[in-house]
Amino acid sequence: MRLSELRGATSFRLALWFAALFGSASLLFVATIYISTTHYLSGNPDERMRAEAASYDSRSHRVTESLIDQHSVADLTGRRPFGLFDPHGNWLAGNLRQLPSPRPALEEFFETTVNTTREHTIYRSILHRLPNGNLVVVSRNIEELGKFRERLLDVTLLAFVLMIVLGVSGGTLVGIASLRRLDRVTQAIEGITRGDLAGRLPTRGTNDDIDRLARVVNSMLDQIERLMGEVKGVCDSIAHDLRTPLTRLLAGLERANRRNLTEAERRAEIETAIVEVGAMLSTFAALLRISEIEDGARRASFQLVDLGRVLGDAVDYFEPAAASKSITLRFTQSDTGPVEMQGDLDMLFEAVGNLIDNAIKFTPPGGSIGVELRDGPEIVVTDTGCGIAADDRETVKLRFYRGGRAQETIGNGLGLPLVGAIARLHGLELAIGNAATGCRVAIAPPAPENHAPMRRATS
Amino acid sequence: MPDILIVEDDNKTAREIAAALADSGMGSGHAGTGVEAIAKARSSHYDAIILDRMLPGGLNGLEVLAALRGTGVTTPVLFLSALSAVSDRVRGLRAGGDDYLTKPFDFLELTARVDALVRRHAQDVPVPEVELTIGDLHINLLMRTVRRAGIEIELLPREYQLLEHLVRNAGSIMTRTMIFEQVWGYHLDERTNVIDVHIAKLRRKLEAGGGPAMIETVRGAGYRFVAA
Repeated sequence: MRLSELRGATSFRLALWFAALFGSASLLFVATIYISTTHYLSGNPDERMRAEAASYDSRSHRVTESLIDQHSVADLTGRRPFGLFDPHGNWLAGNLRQLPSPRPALEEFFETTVNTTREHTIYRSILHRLPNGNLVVVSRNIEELGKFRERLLDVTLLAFVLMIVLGVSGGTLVGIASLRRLDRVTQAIEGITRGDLAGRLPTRGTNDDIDRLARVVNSMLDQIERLMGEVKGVCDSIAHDLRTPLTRLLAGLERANRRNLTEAERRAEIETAIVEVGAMLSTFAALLRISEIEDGARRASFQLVDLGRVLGDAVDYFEPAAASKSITLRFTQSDTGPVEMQGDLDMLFEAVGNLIDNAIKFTPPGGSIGVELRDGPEIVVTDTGCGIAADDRETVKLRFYRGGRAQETIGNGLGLPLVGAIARLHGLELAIGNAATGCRVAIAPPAPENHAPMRRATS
Repeated sequence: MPDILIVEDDNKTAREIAAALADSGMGSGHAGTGVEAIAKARSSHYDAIILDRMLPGGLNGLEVLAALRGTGVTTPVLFLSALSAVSDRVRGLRAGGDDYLTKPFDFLELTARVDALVRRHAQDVPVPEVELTIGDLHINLLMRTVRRAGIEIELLPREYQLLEHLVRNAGSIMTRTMIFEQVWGYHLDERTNVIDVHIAKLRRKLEAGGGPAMIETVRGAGYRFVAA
């Protein structure tokens, strides 16, 4: 991590901005305190001094003289030296023995510094003319105010410097921490970009903003990994599923090409080849259909569909096929009113037909199949067949996968994926479970808990 | 002999279609572009047009059809397309197409559909009928009853519909997909053998009285209803 990176880090810059803002706010605050305090400390006594000086106006000369002498006796430390002078400036009474020279203006405050051997003292005084022409000087020692001022300034400056130091170092620490964290995230992303699809962004479990983002990205990566796996699986399966019929086709055509074949034998070989090619084409058609449905563009053909009618038609269509295997096929609609939804009539028939067709294939003679329509809308097909092993319930939804017993029966392994794609297009989900005696397949709205994280994220 | 105009830019596919039509006893002409198709369809009489949805040059299949219908050419049209999206199919039929087939298709499926189009167009003015008779089979269209050799045959509603449809198309091949589309009313690539079970049931009922078979299986294609 370089310094330039730190300077660019959002959290560091944010901390600096904050320090600057807080610094100027507190500077303003302290300055206000400083100014108003010093003004208060110096302003109020001034008024009192002026009043004190004026209070002698109404006294006789003798009373004034004795009052000032009394004050001088009381003011042993010389904190408030007073002096009474005749109009010529000669001392009459008080502990202030001399008028400053040049003589200061009347009724104005002035400051004088008195240097002694030990210290120098600053006095603030006012010169007042009494009605009889005598002059009175009222003073006070303002050395302490000056000290207070200096002290206040020092403390303020120290606090300011401390705050700047704390702000900058705090910002640096926070910036470094978040940069380190982002570095780890960046490294993880770079790893994934290089092809390590199993890699995930680091999380701390603190549920803070970066953690939440990392978790969303991680779930996106899970989905991408799943899709990549599916694509790879599909490619492998296409290659595998087509190699077998192509090999058979080649063998058949080579047989047909032999000279010593009768016309009937040759024709039989060619017909076998045609069936073989037809099956391959239908595999391709089913694959194309699934990806076409997954594109979602077919929503353009949506209309209000009465599911009861579609299911009734499908059951009616498949009933003879079930009957020929001595399987009873029954349709029940649990709600009285019609169950309607926006959808594609043909595709919904195809989905339900696929489920019924599967059920007929996997149910032994004498069994029964139930097709049920509930409000929701929920379509449930149950059978008394062999069921699907718990481990296989998710994988049978993948293309080309044929679970357990299905490998012995006909089919291209695309039926349930097609149903799944149709369900997703309609905002529904294909769920595979076990009924009491066999398999239970449902097309229903997704369970609410699957959507809970999304809802949390958007709230 | 019915004459069919094939509008298809791929010459090889056009030749294959022509050969398949010839096998079913139909003649054909060929147009490679939309403009050529319009000129040919207007200048000479064709019984049906096989129209590729995607064509090179300025006009696509839908536009060619619109131009033909706009100038009063009512020749039935079967659309061919690599796109199987329902919206596309709907648009094709709404534009005045009479049938729709997606690539890759089965040639038997194509010829059977063209044959059906030609015959449907030939008897375009429907005569109000009360009864269909073929051989010793009588169907009363009003009462929806079926009698063979004078004996009434009990049919379920769907069986009756299936039989009526086969009888109306007697003599020509009906593929499983065509039967499924036209009797059950859903448009999808039906690949189960359920139609065969329905036909078998109907056959058993028709032949219960001991009469000869009326529904022929055409290998690799579908079924044909014949007068016994």
